[in-house]
Amino acid sequence: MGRTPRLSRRQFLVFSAGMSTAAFLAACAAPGAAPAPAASEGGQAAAPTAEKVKIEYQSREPENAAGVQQLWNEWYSTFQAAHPDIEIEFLPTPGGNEIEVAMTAMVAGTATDIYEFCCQNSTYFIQQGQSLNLQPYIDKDAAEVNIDDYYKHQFDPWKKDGDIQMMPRFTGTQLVYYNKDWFDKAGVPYPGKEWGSWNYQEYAEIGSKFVNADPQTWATSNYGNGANWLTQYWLRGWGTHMVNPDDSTECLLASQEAQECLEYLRALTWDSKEYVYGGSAMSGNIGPDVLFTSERIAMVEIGPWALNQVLDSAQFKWDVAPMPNGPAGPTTHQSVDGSLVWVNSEHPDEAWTVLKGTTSPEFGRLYAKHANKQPSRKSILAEFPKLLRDLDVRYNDINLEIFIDSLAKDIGGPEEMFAKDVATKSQILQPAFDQVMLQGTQGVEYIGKFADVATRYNRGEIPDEKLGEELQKVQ
Amino acid sequence: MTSATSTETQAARSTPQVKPSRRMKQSTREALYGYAMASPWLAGFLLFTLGPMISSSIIGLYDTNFLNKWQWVGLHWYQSVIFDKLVQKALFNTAYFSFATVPLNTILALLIAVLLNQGVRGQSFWRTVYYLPAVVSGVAVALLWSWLYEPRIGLFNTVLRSVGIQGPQWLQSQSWAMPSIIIMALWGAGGAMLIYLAGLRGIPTSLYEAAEIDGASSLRRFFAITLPMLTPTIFFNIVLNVIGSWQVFTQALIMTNGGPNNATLTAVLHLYRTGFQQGSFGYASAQAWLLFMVVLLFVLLALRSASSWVHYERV
Repeated sequence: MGRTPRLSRRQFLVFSAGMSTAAFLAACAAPGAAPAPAASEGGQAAAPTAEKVKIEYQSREPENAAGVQQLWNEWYSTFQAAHPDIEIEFLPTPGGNEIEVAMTAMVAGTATDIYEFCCQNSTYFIQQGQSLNLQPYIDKDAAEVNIDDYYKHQFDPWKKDGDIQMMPRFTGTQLVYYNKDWFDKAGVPYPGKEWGSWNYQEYAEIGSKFVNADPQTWATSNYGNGANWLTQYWLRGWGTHMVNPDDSTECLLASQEAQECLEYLRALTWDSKEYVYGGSAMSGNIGPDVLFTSERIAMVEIGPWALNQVLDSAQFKWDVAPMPNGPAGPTTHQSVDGSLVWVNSEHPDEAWTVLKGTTSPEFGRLYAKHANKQPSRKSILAEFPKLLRDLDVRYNDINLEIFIDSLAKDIGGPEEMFAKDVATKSQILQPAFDQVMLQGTQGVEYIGKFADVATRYNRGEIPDEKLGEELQKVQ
Repeated sequence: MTSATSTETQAARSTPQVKPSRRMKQSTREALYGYAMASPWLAGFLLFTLGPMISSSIIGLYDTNFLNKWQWVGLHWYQSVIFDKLVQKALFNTAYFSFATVPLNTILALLIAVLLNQGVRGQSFWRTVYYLPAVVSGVAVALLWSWLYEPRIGLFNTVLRSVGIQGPQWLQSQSWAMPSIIIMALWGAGGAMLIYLAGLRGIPTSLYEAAEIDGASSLRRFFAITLPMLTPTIFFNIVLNVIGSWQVFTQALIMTNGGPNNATLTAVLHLYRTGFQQGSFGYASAQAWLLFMVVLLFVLLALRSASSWVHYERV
């Protein structure tokens, strides 16, 4: 009397596979489905009007980021009045790693029209051919865009074959924040307020006083002098670069100037123990801003993005100073924060209109007013300190003018990018930097040995699968 | 005979006939219900596991960044992956992690389970305490332990300093970084402990009573009854641990990002980098298949060895 199911397992599996495939195909086909026509309130089809184009704008900011909502509310009403045919959907950051999230959407064909990126992530997508070439638009709207209103090197990381691919949102300048109470206590005079008023030797000398007074503390920090933009601004202070500005395939870390600069940074970390690698195991994964506000360091190299937090968290008197000069003169980092139009956007013209809006002087003012972002345009830089002071009187005690002076004087530069940037920095150079800067087990010449591998890798002379072998040869 | 036959015929007539076709329909319906209940998992398996596995094996035949490059390379990646020094390094690091965590985790979890099974007071409280780390997010655990490992102000070195020992550089040290991650992984032994605890409850008390009458010591009872009876549970946990340990990723990414000097570069972290940093998804797929083969090999070895040490109760 055993029951014999009519449906065999094999049949069922085939059936399930068929259903799954159908579901999969249906899911893939879904985005292509025609949108349902909008109905009027009376239930009848709306009369044909000029079609409204929706631009999806992927922000890097979370929804509740300080001031971002106010910024958008205020700016968007003005924008809509001028462009009633364009609707912008502002999307807060989805979290997770930017590269993976954006790339998945690009592969799936569901990427947004505009993306905000920063640092090497921006160049990554340009190098992957995912950015719309903005040069024709910039040329068309030259007067409105006014490229001359930006500092000299603003667009260096965002060019492809000489054409601009991204527009800046803001440009944060790296400075030294310092704890005035600690300086007073140690009897150390405050750093000067002008660019060029102190140098790397004085920086180290001041730092040593704090460490000597309390060996349990460090003197200064930043996000970490690794294979990144933080080491790069110091290198420029020594008159050299990590990446050859004229050839993005060449790594210059073996040059004499670079070696001297790296030795300065190594000694600051391991010999005098003044510098702690922020956000690393060395600092218990504590970021440099928190190290500073929690009084574990007297100084910190950081940009204007930390102003708000320091203002709210610091229980001591503080101020900002320019970055110390290197032997070759003033140096600093100007942040790489920009927006691109996705190459496959269905509405590139409208996306460009939005981008023009978000790089307009009006947007820059609102960004400064609501979110403390330092404007990229030189023409409104002077307003930055006042906008902040209007927002919070405590800024009256801070030398905010130092931020804007460097941009006005074209001091410093953006992050230098290799032709194969992310892989070069993280897989070739960072392990070498780890040993020198993070572990103190190698001298700086060790980093120099990897410069040649980085150059050959960027020139395509070392394929991905042979990279490990080449690295082993110089280890 | 005639009357008996006639009675049988009558009885047969009065008994309702079982309609075979109706019965078949019911059984088919039951089977369909059964399969329908299982279908979410099956559909999930086909869509999200088997499908991607097949696709990745095909992607491994291309040089692709998924965006604008699809170049046929045949078996090139599959051949290259075996000789890639970075892949070898990543596999070595992962093997180090796996060979250390699986036995240590097994012993520790078993030890805690046996102790908790002794009828200690507040057993549910202790069970919760030991299990708690297993439910905390991996990222949160990684960040928490990074603070504990901080060489100057971290808890471990502070305690060591207080007894006159200069602690290591932990995550900063090339030789200590992986052991640090291994020690941290042991903190999550509570997950396996819970399974052992369930296994211990399933051992018939009559066996212990008999052993006690025979005068067996507690140590003898453990090795002669508890351990053999628990071997199916131990085997189950080992297989799960082996698979999980070869997939180690979060800790290496969050705590050390593969460093220092690739000391914690694990297989999954490396294939993730190959895909997303180098933009070489074909090569990343080949690496994923190599990792799959390695895990499969170890699971097969465990299965093969099971017959010699896993004892199943036979009725």
